Amino acid sequence: MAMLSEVTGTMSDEPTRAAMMVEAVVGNAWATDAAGRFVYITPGMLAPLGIVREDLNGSDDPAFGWKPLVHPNDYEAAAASWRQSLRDERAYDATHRLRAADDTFRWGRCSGRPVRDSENRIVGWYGAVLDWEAIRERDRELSQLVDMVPSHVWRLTPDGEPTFFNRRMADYLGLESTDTALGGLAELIESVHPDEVCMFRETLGRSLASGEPFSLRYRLRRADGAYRWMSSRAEPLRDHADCILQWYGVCHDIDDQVLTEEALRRSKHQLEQMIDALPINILSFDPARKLTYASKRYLSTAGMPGEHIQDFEGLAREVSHPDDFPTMFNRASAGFANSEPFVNRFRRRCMDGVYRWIEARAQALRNANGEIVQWYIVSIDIEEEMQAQEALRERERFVWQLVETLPAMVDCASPDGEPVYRSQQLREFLGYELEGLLDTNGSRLMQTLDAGVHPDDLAAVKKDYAQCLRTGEPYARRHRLRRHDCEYRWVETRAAPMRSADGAIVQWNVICLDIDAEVRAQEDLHLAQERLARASQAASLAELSASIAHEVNQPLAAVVWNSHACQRWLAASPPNLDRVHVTVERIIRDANAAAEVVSRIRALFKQTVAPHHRAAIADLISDVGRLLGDRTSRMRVEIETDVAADLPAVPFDFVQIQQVLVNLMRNAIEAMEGHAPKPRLGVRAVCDGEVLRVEVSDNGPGVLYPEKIFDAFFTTKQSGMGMGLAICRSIIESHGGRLWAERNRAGGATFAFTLPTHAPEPA
Amino acid sequence: MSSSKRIIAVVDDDSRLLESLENLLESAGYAVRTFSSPRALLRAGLADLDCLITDIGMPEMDGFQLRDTVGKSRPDLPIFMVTGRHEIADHPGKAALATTLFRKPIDGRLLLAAVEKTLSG
Repeated sequence: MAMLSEVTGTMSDEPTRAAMMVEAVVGNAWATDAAGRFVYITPGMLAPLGIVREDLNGSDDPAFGWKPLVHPNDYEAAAASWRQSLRDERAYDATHRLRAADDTFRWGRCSGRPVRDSENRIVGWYGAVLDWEAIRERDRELSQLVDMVPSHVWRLTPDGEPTFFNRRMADYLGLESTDTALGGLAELIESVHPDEVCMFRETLGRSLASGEPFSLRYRLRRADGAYRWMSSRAEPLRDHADCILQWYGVCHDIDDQVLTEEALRRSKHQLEQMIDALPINILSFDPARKLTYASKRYLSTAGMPGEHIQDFEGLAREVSHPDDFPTMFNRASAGFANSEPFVNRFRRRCMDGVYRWIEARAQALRNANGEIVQWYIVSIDIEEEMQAQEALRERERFVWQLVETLPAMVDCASPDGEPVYRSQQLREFLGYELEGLLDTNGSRLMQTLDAGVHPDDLAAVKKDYAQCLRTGEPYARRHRLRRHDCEYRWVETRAAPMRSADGAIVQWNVICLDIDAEVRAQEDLHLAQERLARASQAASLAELSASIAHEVNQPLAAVVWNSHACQRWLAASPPNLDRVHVTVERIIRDANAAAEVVSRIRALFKQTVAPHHRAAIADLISDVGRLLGDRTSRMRVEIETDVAADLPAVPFDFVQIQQVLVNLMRNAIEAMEGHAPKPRLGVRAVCDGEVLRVEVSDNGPGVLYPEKIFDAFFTTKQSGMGMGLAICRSIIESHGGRLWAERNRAGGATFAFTLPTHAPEPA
Repeated sequence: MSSSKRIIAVVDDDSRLLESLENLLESAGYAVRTFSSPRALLRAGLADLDCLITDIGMPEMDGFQLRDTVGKSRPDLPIFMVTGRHEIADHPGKAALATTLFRKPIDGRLLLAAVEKTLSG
């Protein structure tokens, strides 16, 4: 317009120069006077047609000189519009076909504006003719460009009302046309997803009010109702006065991208959730050992590392137990340095200040080139496990201490008897360690037995061990064992097998007690008992004989005195025969009384008691063997028992016959004492026709008087009363049997008694 | 002689012994009073006795106790003791009594000789 004003002002003065300028700048232009007569028209428009400006003014219609140029079919409408503009003094715009240089018609647009003077009177009209087809071509290209951009393009008024959507956007929203039926801003807002609509309205409102560029992500509803994510930006177009003319905006469909991001986020979230759900803590460190990640679970158990903690070492110092730190850190440092995985078990402090055992495993993540990108450390709480282990260790320690401090010597042996463990007490007793026994010297068990067991006990001990190892029977034996100071001490050893579920022997457990003091005490006790028994026996026998003597002496004294009296009465003169007579009767009476006493005493030893029991003699023999076990083992008497298997059970008084057998065996043992270097006691029981015969033989000095020894008060012993065998014989005879003694051909004596296999007839 | 008969008391819980000793002493001319227990003798009194022969082993009161009791009122009365229990006579502490303590059955002649010797002394 400024340019046109200038043209107007200089039109009369320098027409040529103005025209040149117009022609150079505008193209086809025209000017008329107030009545519509052409005062100028771009010569280029007319020259090719062979006409001049005057030809136009001289046309049929003096007010509208365009006739030679306008297509006949468009002329009336254009002329009417022009006349209307002249009358109303309003801008003229008409579109019509114009004759071109090659005498063809092309669409053009002819526009004119009135020019007024200072009194606002119209002084003329200026106009321009544009080649409408060229414009339309560019417009079409532009529209195509706008429509083909792979984005949504839109334009809003300064108030925000949409004035343009490109084809893509219109299609997206499901609109018929790009410039019709756009709908209002409200309708556009309505298409935004309910979750973002508020933000959209606010952000847009702010931009419209302030002129700040608009930028937002939101979901926009597509024609088919589906919402898709859009990234939208808009900036205002301003005029020279900085007023906003339009808002131009684009809006990219970023739905796929957002969904991918979301999927990524979701997958990351899932991973984090998984990490947090797993009962493990995860830390990661970069190659410089700086902490890069700590799982939520770690943070909630160990707590957020303090600000001052920079790297692995700092963290390790902070949370690991001071006692565990050196080892743990050394191992970790070595792992880092050698780029090798490492495992640490240590106590880590929790948020509540309590240390708990954890196991931490570290492993490096490498890139394609093998360089370490990240160290990952996974840790698991093993507190319960450690406590259980500790409890187990404690229990083991307890059991161990129990075994070691038991006031007994304990030994464990493999199923074949080889010792595998010996308690401290046993090691101290023996004076050497188990390791001191060399395998090259043969079985450790045999080495131990050979070295320790008393030579006199060795054969029997070995025999019993072999028997138990073969059969799995428990072992129990007393024997002498050499102590480290070379003193032999009595021990009692007991062993029992420990079996697995299927019954196989997995180990022999052996306990060995030093019973030396007990054995000695028992020996002493036995001696004391023996002495006491003898003393009491002697006392009772002395008493018995005293009573017997008194019983016999009373009538004897009467007989003696009466006899002397009788002698006197006879010697008197005259002899007092009456007194003699009375006296002799008394003598006879009292002498008979004395004889009566003697038979009473005999009857005392000769009780004919009906035997109550019918028992196996073999039981009796083993019973007595046990009773005398202490004595035979102390005196190292070897007992050979030979009891026929098919002996009939015979009737006898168990206690009485037991007494007999005890007596015979004890006599034999005592007879051998000091006489036989290898005392051997034989007990034999056989069935001999109607009787059962039991023989007790020894290898002592033998008997000098095989019959006399059964007399009462006969003894070869210094301390004996000589009643034992007499009583024994009386017992055996009361059973209907016989008791006698023989000399052995090989030396020693045999005492034998018989018992009838059937009860004796009552006397 | 009958008026001057010496009186000897005999104490024994066995009637056969009382009988036979009474018989022996009477055959030697003594007057004999027999008592089956020391208490019976003490009840009867000791006044006219010339000699006492007692058994040792008796219930209630034995010969030694009787001797001690009699010794208080008749310290001069000769007392002989006889016993069937040799262990009593063999007891070492009783050696001092050797002349007045006899074992049954003591020879009647020895007993009479001892009594005669005491009473005539």
